[in-house]
Amino acid sequence: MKRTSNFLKLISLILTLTVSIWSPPLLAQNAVVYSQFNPPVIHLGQSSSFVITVYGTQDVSQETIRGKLRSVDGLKISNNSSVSSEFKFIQGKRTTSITYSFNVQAEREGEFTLEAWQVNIKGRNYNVPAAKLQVVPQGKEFEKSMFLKLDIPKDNFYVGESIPCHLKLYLRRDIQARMRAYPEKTGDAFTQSELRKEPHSAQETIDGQIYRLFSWPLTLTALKAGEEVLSYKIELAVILPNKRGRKSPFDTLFNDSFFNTDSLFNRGNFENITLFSGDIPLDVLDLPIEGKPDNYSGAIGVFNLKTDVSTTTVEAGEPITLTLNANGEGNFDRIAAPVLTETENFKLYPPKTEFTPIDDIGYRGTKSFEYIIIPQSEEVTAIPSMAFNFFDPETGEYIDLSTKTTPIKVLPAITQSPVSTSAFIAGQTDDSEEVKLPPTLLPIQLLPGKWVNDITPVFKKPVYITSQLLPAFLISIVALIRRRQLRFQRDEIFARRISGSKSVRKWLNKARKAASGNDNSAFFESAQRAIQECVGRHFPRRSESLILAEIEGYLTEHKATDDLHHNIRQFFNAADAIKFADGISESEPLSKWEKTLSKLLNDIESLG
Amino acid sequence: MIWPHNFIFGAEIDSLFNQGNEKYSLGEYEIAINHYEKCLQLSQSAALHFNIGNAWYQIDEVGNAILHYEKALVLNPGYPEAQANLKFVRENSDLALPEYSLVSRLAQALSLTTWCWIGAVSFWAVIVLITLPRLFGGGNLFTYGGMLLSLILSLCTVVALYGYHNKNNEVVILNNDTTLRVAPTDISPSNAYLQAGEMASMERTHQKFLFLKTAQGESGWVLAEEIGKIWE
Repeated sequence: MKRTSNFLKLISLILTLTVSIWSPPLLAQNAVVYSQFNPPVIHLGQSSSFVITVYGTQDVSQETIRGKLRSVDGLKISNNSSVSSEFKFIQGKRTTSITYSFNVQAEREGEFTLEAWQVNIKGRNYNVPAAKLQVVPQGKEFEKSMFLKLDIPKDNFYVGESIPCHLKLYLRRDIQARMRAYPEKTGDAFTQSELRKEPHSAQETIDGQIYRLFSWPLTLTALKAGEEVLSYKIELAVILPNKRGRKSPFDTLFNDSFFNTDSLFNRGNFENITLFSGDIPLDVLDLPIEGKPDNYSGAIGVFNLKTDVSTTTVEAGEPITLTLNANGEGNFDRIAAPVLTETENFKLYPPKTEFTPIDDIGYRGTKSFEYIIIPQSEEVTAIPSMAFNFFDPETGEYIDLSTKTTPIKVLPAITQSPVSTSAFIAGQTDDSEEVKLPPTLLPIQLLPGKWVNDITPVFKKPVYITSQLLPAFLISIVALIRRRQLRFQRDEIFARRISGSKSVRKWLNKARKAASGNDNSAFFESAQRAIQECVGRHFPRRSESLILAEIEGYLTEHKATDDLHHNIRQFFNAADAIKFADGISESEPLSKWEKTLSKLLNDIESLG
Repeated sequence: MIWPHNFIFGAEIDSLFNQGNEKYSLGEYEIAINHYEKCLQLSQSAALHFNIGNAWYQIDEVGNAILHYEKALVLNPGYPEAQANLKFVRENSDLALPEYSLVSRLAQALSLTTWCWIGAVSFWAVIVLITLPRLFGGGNLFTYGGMLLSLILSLCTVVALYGYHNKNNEVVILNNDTTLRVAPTDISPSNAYLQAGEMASMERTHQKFLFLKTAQGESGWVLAEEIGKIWE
């Protein structure tokens, strides 16, 4: 019977499973969303998880959920989540779910509420219920295993005063930890020096327990007066010792308390925690008004001052290097450069400042101020005193350490040129192409140099463009002249034509002159020569040897008119008559002959 | 009538320059910059830009300091003090020293004006030395040597002018964490962030935005007010 009953139960279970598998899953419209902090109560420094579970669908992205998550003051919710999905049978029905888990860290104690909000899944809005997280102070056991502490030598100090401190992290010997972020200060009333990347490490025994000690030296400087609170925190990844082996995967990582050593130290899990130093109340005082010098340098601490002058005999206009070294302990970063009490007859440049610390945190050391001062005339007899003072926080008094005047001898200037560092730099650059780096910013120039009204590139300026025409013009002219010269030399006809034209003009002018002087002989001789030159340009021989027959032959060849033949003949006959018969019969005035000659020459020109 | 006008102008600008120097020496750098800027409205000089660069540096305005040292070097490329302070400021501000190409170094060896005149003279010398021997018959060693020298100078000028052309597009980032935008809009996502004093090359503009490319190969859009043009 029992066997039959068991068999029926098995059949029933198989049928139920089969039906359930093939039944439709819960649809999105039936989805349900839950949210909670897990664990809902943590100790300060411990992490929790904000868990959102959506039942009925797995079609929900992390972005959909994370994008709607509201920020809560005092809680740090990570951007990325761990995701898990489930597939279950509940009372024969198949259900699916997806769970997003966001890491949460609390920055302070208190109760935090993440208000309800709506999330849109497949076009429908679903309510995500509110969730609460309670953060309680760290427990004693936890505090014994690891703690953060600020060692500060006193709890009251002055505004601007630098206090050397040590930030100490104690880790019990059985705790393994890795620093996730450098210690962080909370409290805007203080500034701190830069922390070393590698802390000093040592061992220390407290109440019989051995601790590893990691220490960061630093200086704290108060920025404002009043009762102020300072605290530090450090983020660690801690590997806790495992005594019992692995826990069930269904147990949450965050269910355990740091009080509970069984659960805390026996898991062997990796956990991100934040350690807090706790609030440190400090009383910050204003510097006393009484006795405060007008030119107070801002120095607080204990200092000595030494001065050094490069030379005591100079020419007027020659620089002197005055070095002031302030050594001791205090707020070196806030010490202003001492000022020269009298600047008349001196040209003074801003000093080059250098600090040489003798400790890790810049609390002890020497700050030097190197001044270049230039006496302007030989009337100067001493370097005036330099005002320097500091406030001693131990005695509560201002101490004056102003320098004494330093006698110097200033000779009349030999050179009149202004002092410049150009020579120094130029001297260096002469030897090598690379410019040597000066130890500090080179001082300003005393003379403005050449003023430039316009930095338009010169090639865009009309004067430059126009100036390019000049060589182009000159070269063209020279080339043309030279080419003409060469043609003159090489081309005889061309040369004859050019020189013939000149000769025609010359003889025509002579003829005109003779006509105006009524000189028959000279006129006809010149006219004959002008005609010979005019025709002779086309003959490869001297033109004065041309006879009338040759000229007429040329005219006939070029189909000259009968009038032209006739006129030329008349001129030649007249010339021959004067030459050989000592005169011509008076016929027409020379002015008319001259006109005829001009026309005749033009007609011959037009033939050729 | 022209002389007194120039005289007054010169006296005024020199007086402003000296006032700026005086304020600088007293550590009143912002007032010094005011005086120097007034000078700039009248005229400019390499020394003026040098002093402005110093004053900006004293108040930790590295971008403006570098811009004015660069401007000083535009006016006077062989200005040793400006070169030294520029290098000092860059090293002190953890800015990479720009790696100047051969072209850029050749360009900066002389001022643009000097290069232009060298280019003009050498070009016409080449023309003359090619033309004249053909007209007057033959050339000698002197002619060919001169022609070769002129040709080399002309080529150098072309290369130097190309270098200056590139320099013409160079800008200096004025502010720290200047956003290099993906697109020329106010709401564009950022490509990268540039630091004050970094150099970049301006490639194009779109409304109030400029497209820059840095020596590291990053590119993107910045607002025109976030940069300073060296050649302006």
